[in-house]
Formats: sequence, structure tokens, C-alpha cells
Amino acid sequence: MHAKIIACSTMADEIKMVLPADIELELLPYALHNTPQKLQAELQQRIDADVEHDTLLFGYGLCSYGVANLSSERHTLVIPKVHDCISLLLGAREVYDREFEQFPGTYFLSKGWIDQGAEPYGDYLRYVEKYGEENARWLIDSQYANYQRIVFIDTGVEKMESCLAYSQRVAGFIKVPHGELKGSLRLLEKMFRGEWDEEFVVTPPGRMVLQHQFL
Amino acid sequence: MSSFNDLAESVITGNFGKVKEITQEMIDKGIGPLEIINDGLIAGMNVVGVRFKAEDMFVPEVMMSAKAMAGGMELVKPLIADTDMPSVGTVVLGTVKGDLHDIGKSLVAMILESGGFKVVNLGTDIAPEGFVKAIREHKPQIVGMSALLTTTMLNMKATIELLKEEGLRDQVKVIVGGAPVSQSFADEIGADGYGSDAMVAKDLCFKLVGKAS
Repeated sequence: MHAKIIACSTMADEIKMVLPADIELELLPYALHNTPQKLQAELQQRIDADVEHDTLLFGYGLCSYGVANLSSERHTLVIPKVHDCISLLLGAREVYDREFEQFPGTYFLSKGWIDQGAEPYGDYLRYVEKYGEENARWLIDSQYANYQRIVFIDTGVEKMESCLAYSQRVAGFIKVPHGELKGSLRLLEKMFRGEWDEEFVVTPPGRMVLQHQFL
Repeated sequence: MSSFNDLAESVITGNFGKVKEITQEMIDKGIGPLEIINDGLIAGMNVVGVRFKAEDMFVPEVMMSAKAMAGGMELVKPLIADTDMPSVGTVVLGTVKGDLHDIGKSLVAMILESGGFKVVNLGTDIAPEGFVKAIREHKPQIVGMSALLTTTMLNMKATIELLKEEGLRDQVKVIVGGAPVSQSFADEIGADGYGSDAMVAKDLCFKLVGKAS
């Protein structure tokens, strides 16, 4: 196997922690999932541009529509069978499903989410600058009205303590309870070891990744 | 005095205070409520819809425009009888079970209202039974379902299945939308249409009720 992993910057630190020396890492910008069709196009472009490897691993889940319909003539595509990076950071789809079942209105944070400012307080600061204090406050209240809690995922990467403290402040800012979950990089490690069992969607050359394989 | 153009512009810029002020001023001058709605508030919102689609405006801005328009509507609505409001058709909208995301669906609701539809916005986390109940109660021509999460999008399918079981499927057109949804997903679950954004959803609704937008 001559492999490369194409991953979202949100998980950069976690991936680097367990990445074997012989697997190359290609990072994509944060938050492309916000426009799923564009994420899909971007991923397909990266696949098409690669002529060095026979296997492409993905530091993505389904990510809305992000990996739907991806295909390659030369690579085997290996994607963790999860909805998104939250399951990847928690170590298993089941862990995420269990949390979702109990509290569908959870906003998960991890170091990567905090670094990119993809959280209520980060949004607030951007809104204040663009729309003024009063509008910003109203926008945040509307946007996060249905969230019941903020949960920080401790994946063991550097600066966990300051991230946790920040996450707690974010929860205070939108006035919801704060929780903490221990993350796990087992899915990433398993992918790197080549143990592609039912926890992965493996697509051989010439075949297409389908959205319903993840549902 | 302020013109319809000023009112529309205040909706476009999301100036809540100004929209209320101009609307009140127009009411006081005796301008007809339907004129205020159509030539001012809705005219503004229609521009918002077009700019949003062209990515010249973004979600927070559209939310502020919607809030401003609602501020004006609140003042005008008591002045008109329900029967005076021309309606193109009725649409029941909701975010599917397990999904608490509200904003995109509510923007669709607003764009549809601006287009002349009566919209019954059920809110979020609506179980298939909730859609069934709303269809029986409001007798819409169209039911719209939204999902932002891939964990919940299959509940669209579950809802369509229940509509069939309850014998309601032939009475309504079903449309779907939301970030993870695509035309092929809509086809797969047997929906009648897919809207990739709020403006497409509006055109789709007009098409489904057999009227020109």
C-alpha cells in the first residue's frame, strides 16, 4: 500500500499524533462542509490530481454530502463510515449515536473547532464586527437557540487545558450546560493499520462512493 | 414622506427599526395594507431572495432582513382580514424528527410567504405523525421537509412512508431540502421535488401548484 490521507484541518493535530511515517498527509481548509457540494468537488479534484499513490485515506466522514459520489480510476478510497468528524474524534460511530440519542442539541467542540473559531463566541465576534453588537447578540441567540449543551472532546492533543477552559466559557456565553467527553483516535489508528472492516466504506478503483452507504 | 422603495431598501438592509417606522408612517397616511406588504415589504424580500441565491447576501443578513420584514408585517397584518390576503396555496413546513435546525427552513418559509403562499411552519424535530396531523388539519397542497444532519435525513423517508400508510400521499406534493439532501436522494425516497436553495424551493412550489412564479 502506497497511501496518502486527505483530511480536514479540523483534525490536523489528532491525525499527526497517530500518523505513520510512511503515509503522507494532505490537509484541506476548515469548514468546507458548510457548502457540501463544494467540499465534494474539492475532494474529487484532490483525488484526480494525485498520481503518486494507490490508496487514498480520508480524514472525513460523510460530512453532509462531502464524500458522496467520489470516485477514482487509480485509487482505492477508504473513508471511515461515520457521519462526520465528531464520531472520528470520539472513536466510534456508536459513541456519537449514543450521545445524539440523549441530547440531539449538542454542539461539540474540539481543539480544531476552537482553533478555527467555529463556535458561538467566534461567530459572535465576527458578527459584532460586521453587524454591530445588538444584531450580533440577536443572531447568536437565534442561531444557537436550540442547542442544549456544549461538549468538549478531549482527544489528548496539546493545549487541552486551555481549550477546555475556552469551551466552558463558550457554554457560559450561550448559557447552556457544559460537558466533557474523552476522545479516542482508535478509528484513525485502525484506518492507518489497514484494518478496513465494517467501520469503513472501501471503494475500489472505478467504483463510486454512495451517500446511502453511510446512512 | 418615505416611498415604497425606502421601505423595500430597509428590508434589504435588515433595518428593523426603520422598517417599523416607515410602515407605521404609511399606515398613518392611510396607505392600503396590501400595498404596503406587496410594494414595500415583499418587494424588499424578493430582492433579498435573489441576492442570497447569488451569494451577495449571507444567512445572518437574510435573517436580519426577515426579522425586519416580520416587524413590518406585524403592524400591517391586523389591518387585513385573512380572506383579503391572496394565497397561491398552502405549504406545511417542518424540520424532521431528531433534527433541531431551524434557520434554513424558516428562511424558506419566509421566501414562500413573500411569494404569496400561506405557510404553516411546524418548527423542528417533527415526527412523521406530526406531519400527518398537520396535513389533516391544514390541507396543504405541499409538504416541505428539511434536515441538516445525515443522522436525521432518513426520517424524510419515514415520513413519506407514513403518508402512504395513512392514505395521504396522493393528496399532497412532498418536497425536501437541506445541506445533505440532493436531487438523487429526493428521487430515492420518492419525494416530488428537491430545492437546492430557498429560491429554487419557491419556484418548485409554484410549479407544483401549477402556477407561474
